[in-house]
Amino acid sequence: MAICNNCGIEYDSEMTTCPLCHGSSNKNTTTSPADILDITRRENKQQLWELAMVLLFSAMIITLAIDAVFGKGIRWSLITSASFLYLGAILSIFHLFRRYLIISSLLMASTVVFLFFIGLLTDKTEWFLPLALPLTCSFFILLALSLFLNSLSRYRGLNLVATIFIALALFSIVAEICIDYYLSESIKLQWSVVTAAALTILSLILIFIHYRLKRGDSLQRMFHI
Amino acid sequence: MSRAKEKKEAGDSYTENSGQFGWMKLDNAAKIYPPVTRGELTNVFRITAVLNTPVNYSALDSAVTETAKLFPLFSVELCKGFFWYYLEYNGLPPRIHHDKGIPCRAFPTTRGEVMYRILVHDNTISAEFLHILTDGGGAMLYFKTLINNYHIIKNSTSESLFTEKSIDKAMVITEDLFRKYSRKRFPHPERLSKAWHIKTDKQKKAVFHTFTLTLLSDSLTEAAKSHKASVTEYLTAVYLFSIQKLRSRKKRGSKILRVQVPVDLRRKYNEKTTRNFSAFVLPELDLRLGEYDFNEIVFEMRYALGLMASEKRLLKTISRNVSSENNALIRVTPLALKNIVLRIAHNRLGIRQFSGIITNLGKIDISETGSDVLNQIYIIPPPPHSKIKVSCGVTSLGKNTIITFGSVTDDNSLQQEFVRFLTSEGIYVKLAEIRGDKNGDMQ
Repeated sequence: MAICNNCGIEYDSEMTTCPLCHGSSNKNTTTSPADILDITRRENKQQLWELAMVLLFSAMIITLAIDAVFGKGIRWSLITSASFLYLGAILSIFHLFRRYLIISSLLMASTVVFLFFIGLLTDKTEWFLPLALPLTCSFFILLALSLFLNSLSRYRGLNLVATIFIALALFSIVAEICIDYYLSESIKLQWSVVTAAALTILSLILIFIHYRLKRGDSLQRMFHI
Repeated sequence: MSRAKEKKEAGDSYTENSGQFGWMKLDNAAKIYPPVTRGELTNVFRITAVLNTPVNYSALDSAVTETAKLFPLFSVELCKGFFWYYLEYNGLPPRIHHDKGIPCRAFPTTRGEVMYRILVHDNTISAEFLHILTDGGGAMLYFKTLINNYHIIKNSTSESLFTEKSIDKAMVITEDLFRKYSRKRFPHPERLSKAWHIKTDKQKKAVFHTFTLTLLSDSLTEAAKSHKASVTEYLTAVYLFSIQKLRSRKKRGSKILRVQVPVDLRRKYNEKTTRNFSAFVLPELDLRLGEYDFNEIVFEMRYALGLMASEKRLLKTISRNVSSENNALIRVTPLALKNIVLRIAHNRLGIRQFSGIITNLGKIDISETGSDVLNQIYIIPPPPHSKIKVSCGVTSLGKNTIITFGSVTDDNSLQQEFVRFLTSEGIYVKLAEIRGDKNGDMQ
């Protein structure tokens, strides 16, 4: 029998460390050359993000330089640079924030800004207000709502797919409204209603399977009064 | 070991029991705990055994697994329904942790976790329970079985540590006994006025101090007998006397001093269950009639506790609680809204009614072997509400009675008054901060 210096309990000598504290007090504090690669997950993530930023910035500089030298002015490289910046913004948002509500809001804002700049760079901004803005906003709002509902769920499975389907159903309706209004300034819902109905029925079936069939439970537990 | 692996290992008993238990409604007493459990108000209490030798991990691990099989109603997790919370059987044993000296910490509400845990350090084994799962009586039953199983496995013996039989199958009943004994259209207890609350400076940060008083059981019983009272009546009187001392210093606020004393209904109704089955009585002192000397308080407690714990009076409380649960409007209110209502009701109607809590789990009878193996068993009551500030738990083992105070304030005035009175009665008191190094004797 061995006695742990930290917890004071007895444990079998065959065990290499204390099963309770895993020998936290007896950890070897000397550093060997092999420890250099032993970085934490957080450090690893930080280094990957830094590397990605360096690569994106380099790519931006290179494309701008090529355009300036060979194209005799900066034209198309502005679009690629905007795309690189957008990609950098997405990576940074995921790297810096953890709360899905903040991530969704920042992604929405950066996408809207990116699309607006694309419009400006291509001298065609008429599609931005009626199409790009409402579609982007509705997409990210529905995404945030789905994530929120998902976070409330204790058991995630088919109910998550059902939530995504319902979000897609709503998005298809918003998309048809925006496209109709942009093309003909009148709204006549057709394909989106059929899509939404099909997706809703599918999601109801999935919810039923999730709460009743898959877990073999009665709905009584969920709705008992 | 991962929970998935543990679940796989517990497979046999899970399959056997999942059909029987599946899911359960919370018992009547447990219903209040989920909405009011947050922050420092963890509603977690602890029972600790101090052994004479260091704990053997392998034996404890086996004992925990074996004991979990005897208490299948503890292998449940809390789930949210649309109208009520419910318990779902998951077949898992509790986790064993290293006790880092912070008692009664909150339980994670993640999937695949049970609402009790085992903590070990040196020669102490503790079990912590969320009140949703069980009360002190049920927890003590589990704990004694665990310690006994540990002893049997470690020493390969059949000698029991306790004189009474610890568990039998009759205790695995899912029925809510509050509902069984409640009566329809039964008169409700009178609404109580606001009680005085201990006043201290506002805490800058959340704390939970615990310390124990070790008393010689014989001298305590003798002191209680000299006042013709039982130990519970006597200690409740000391508790109220100490609160009265603090009230007389402040001279402000309500003149009603009232303490909450849990009553184990298992004994009253001769029932065996591991779920919650206790009620509270609230003896009081009315300082509008003037201050009381100790003899008067003991006299009051002797009769008040006896009267209030009578079957018919307890039925009034049980029936009131169950009828609230049966109220059609409450039942159809969605859980999110119900939580808000229950939280307000708990603060407005529950907490305001009493000034302190004292719970006596009674005498634990041990065999001769038990006295060689066990040094102490004590209870740490759940961290009290910030208005109540100090709660008190009592257990007796062998020659010693251990009184534990759990306090959410740095102010120790109540505990000081309590000790001062006991020593003035000639009772030897040994004071120890739990797992701390500030030990000292007071005579």
